[in-house]
Amino acid sequence: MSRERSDRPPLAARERAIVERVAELYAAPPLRPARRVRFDARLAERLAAPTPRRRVLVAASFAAAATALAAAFGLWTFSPREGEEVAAAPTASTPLGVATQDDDAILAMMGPIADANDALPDDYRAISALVIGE
Amino acid sequence: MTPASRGIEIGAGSLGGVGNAGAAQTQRLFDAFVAEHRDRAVALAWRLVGGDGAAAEDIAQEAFLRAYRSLHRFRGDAKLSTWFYRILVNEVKRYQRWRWVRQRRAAESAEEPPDPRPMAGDPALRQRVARAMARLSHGQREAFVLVHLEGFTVQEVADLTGRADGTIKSHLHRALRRLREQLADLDPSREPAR
Repeated sequence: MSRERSDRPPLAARERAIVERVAELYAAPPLRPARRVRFDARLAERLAAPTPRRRVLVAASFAAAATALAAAFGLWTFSPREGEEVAAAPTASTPLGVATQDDDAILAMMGPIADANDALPDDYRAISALVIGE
Repeated sequence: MTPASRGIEIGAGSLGGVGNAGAAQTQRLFDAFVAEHRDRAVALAWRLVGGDGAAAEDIAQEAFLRAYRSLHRFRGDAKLSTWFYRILVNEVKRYQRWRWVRQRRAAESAEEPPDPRPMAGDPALRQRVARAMARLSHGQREAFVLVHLEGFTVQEVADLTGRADGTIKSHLHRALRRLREQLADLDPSREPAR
């Protein structure tokens, strides 16, 4: 490098000789032109490729966009069209008290019931007769 | 902040532009930096990893890549080349850690240096010197290679490796003593023994 070499420990002649021999014998073979070209081409390719962090950001953005698109499509699919009848909301606060349009339709099909006990199954009616005495 | 907006100097040029023109100039100057330091980076990595040419090229590639992607972090309080060689030395350490783990798993000998590529000169002598270098501790080899073979100052090596000057000097002293013991018969004034 460019700075002064004054901070390097001084070497005796014998040490300097060994350093010189090691420098000569422990050296990489020079890069051949073809290898140099291949090195540069590979490096240029890697420099142009997106960084791992950028890849994660792109993937995350894509996932977020896909989720938003799916949610928007779902809202559009299940939202009522103009003039379409909206299903009645449950009217009771307990599950047993929930009455929907389907329940009303079943009751209408069954017709009027003269006695409330007629609506009960036979075994329930037997229990009712035993307990209440009817 | 882009490297261009900081006016970072690479080689003879300066990154002063902004926008696409600035990015193109950064690329051009970085290419020039790579062209200027490629061979030395590979040679230095080769010596630090103990003569593995493929590994040396991979390490140099990774160091250039990391340097390019981290240019925005370069503060300009050191030379760009010094900053780059610090990255390179760290990459060598990363590689050596990885190799150490791999060798332990494979139950291979960590002391055996890879076979040097066919080169001019006495292969047996080269192998002998490579073995002597491989027998140095990592710190000793690093200090010896950077100071005596690559020409960095002790202060620069301290900056590159994050070690104290005194530690570097101590490594240098021990490395030289060990090499002198193992290669005492090497005399540059005569032909190597065959």
